[in-house]
Amino acid sequence: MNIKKLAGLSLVFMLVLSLTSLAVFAQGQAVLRADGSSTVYPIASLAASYWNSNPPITDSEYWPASEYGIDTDKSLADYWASLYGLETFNVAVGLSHSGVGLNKVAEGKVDIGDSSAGARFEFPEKTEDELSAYTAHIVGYDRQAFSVSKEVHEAGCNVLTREEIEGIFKGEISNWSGVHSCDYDKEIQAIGRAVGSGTETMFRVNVFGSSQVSGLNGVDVRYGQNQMVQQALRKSSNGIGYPGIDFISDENPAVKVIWDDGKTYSVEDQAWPLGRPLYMYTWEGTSKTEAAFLRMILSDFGQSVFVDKGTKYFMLSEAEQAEQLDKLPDVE
Amino acid sequence: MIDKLTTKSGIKAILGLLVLGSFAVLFTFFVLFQTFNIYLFLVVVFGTAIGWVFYEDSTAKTLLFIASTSAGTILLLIAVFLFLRGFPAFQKDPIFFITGSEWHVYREIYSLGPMIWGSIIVTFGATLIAAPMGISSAIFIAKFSPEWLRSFLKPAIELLAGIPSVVYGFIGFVLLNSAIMDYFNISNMGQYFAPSIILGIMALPTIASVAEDAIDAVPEHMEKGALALGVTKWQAIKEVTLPSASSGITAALILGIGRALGETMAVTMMIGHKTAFPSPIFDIFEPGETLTSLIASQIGNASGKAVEALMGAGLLLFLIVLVLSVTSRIIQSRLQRRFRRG
Repeated sequence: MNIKKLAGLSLVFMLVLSLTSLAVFAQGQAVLRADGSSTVYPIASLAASYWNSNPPITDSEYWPASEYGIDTDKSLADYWASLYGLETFNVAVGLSHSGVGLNKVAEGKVDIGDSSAGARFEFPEKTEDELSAYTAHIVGYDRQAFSVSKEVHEAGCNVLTREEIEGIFKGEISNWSGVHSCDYDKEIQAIGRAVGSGTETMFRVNVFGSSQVSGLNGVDVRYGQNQMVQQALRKSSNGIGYPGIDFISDENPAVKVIWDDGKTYSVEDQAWPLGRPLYMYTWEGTSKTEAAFLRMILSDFGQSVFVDKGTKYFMLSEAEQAEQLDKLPDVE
Repeated sequence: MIDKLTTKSGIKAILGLLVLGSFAVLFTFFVLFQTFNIYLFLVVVFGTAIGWVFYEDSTAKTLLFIASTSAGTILLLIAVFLFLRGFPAFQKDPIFFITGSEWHVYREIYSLGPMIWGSIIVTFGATLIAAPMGISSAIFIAKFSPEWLRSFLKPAIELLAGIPSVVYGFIGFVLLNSAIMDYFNISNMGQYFAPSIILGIMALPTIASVAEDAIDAVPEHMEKGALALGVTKWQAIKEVTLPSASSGITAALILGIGRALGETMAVTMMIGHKTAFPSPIFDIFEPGETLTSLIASQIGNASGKAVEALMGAGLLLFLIVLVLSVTSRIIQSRLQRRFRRG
């Protein structure tokens, strides 16, 4: 083979490859990308899987449009995209941490940043001005519950006041006998979450009023994952922690709390005082692509299927739902 | 004829320049032009292919050169990156950053004191376990073990090194943490004690196999000579073989310490991630944090100044390991020189 033939051949090959890479690149642009909190992930990924599989209207199990008063003959994603005059597109949801999602959405690496804590709590160092580009969409609610080892619960320590929770995590109460509801002589093992995680941030905000609280010397152990918190609670006989609500079971039951108003709440109560909104942030307003996907999640259909039935989280109230829908650009 | 030759070497020079240039840009600035990379890559691949067909000798030489120098270049690039990203953390108040006692992400107070101390405790504990066990098994395998046992023990120890660290971490987290908690009646998991044990086991194969190689490398006639003078086998090993192998054993120890110091996954899974000094300071049953587990557990959630501080921790770790390996080199070469004279 002479050099001319070889050069010609390689030129053709390069052309083909560059065209393919261009096509892949172009398709990559058509994908709506989300990334961030592992707490928000179940909602986002469930919604994305419905969206990407795009069930036709005849598939009433997965796309029960008429049940929610939607009059259309389009398939699921086609319908929601058509509200903004768009062709349907793919949605890809990644899984990391709240802070990562918020950073990525600001850098333009993703379109939607999932976060289990408000941006102002995640970035206490940023000014309101810097935060104003973050456009918040609340898609559901999580409730922050306190869970204890089975032995602790069985010993009767199943109601804690807010002051007691504060005392335990600040190290002022170090033995279960210091809790009013029980007489269980055992050192307390206080289990926290990794600092910077949405759960930890909201725990500090909900219990101590600010993420910048200092002196949480009572925390013995911190784990990066809910699974590890659950495992640690199960493996010990003296633990208390705040894993996500999905990670509470008979082996590590939830406790009731007596909050500032003097009332006793259990985690099943609508008025549970340690709620936290789950966010999907967009950057500098909301594009039509983003709005089409978010509108589906915020609709009656999305709230019921992706939040209420699909996960252990809680739907928005009607007023909140209307408020969130109002924030999206108008449909065409 | 001459014309043809000059054109040919001209083409060769242009081709070489093109390929090496693209490779250099690809290698150093691949983050900058992401869509452009594929073309550079194609130039490198096709250029090399063309070069291989027409100028096999020089292409092969260049490829070998690139392969052998890239390890060093990568090390250099990592060092530069770590320094650029991590140095700002030291700039403000280096003394506080290294010796301070508070790491508070939400209030942006960063000092590595507790983590440095944690790394020291855990590494010391691991060495306490791995060093005697590793060196003893090295002596046994090299000198006393019958052949059938040796052919079983040596691969077994090497396999120990092949177990992924996440498996050690899992065993440690699920079994050892709660076992120690029950056995010593401690109120919390994630103390310094349990990871030290696991790290000791993890550093054991490094120490054992390097030390065994060192002992094995001592010329047999030296030991035979001692035996001929009427000493026992143990005396010969103690007085002749071990001193001769001491540089290798030292290297084994330092490698083991490096392994324990740098191990991340197992420690991250087991330790309590409490970023404060234990009190009293030698309490190995307190939960804590090491440099590696700090970086691993916090980088995912970090933003802004926290990333800078974690990069600083990485830089510190890099420097410590660098000092360790340079020290081991110096010790080795000194001992070797003395050995040669003696």
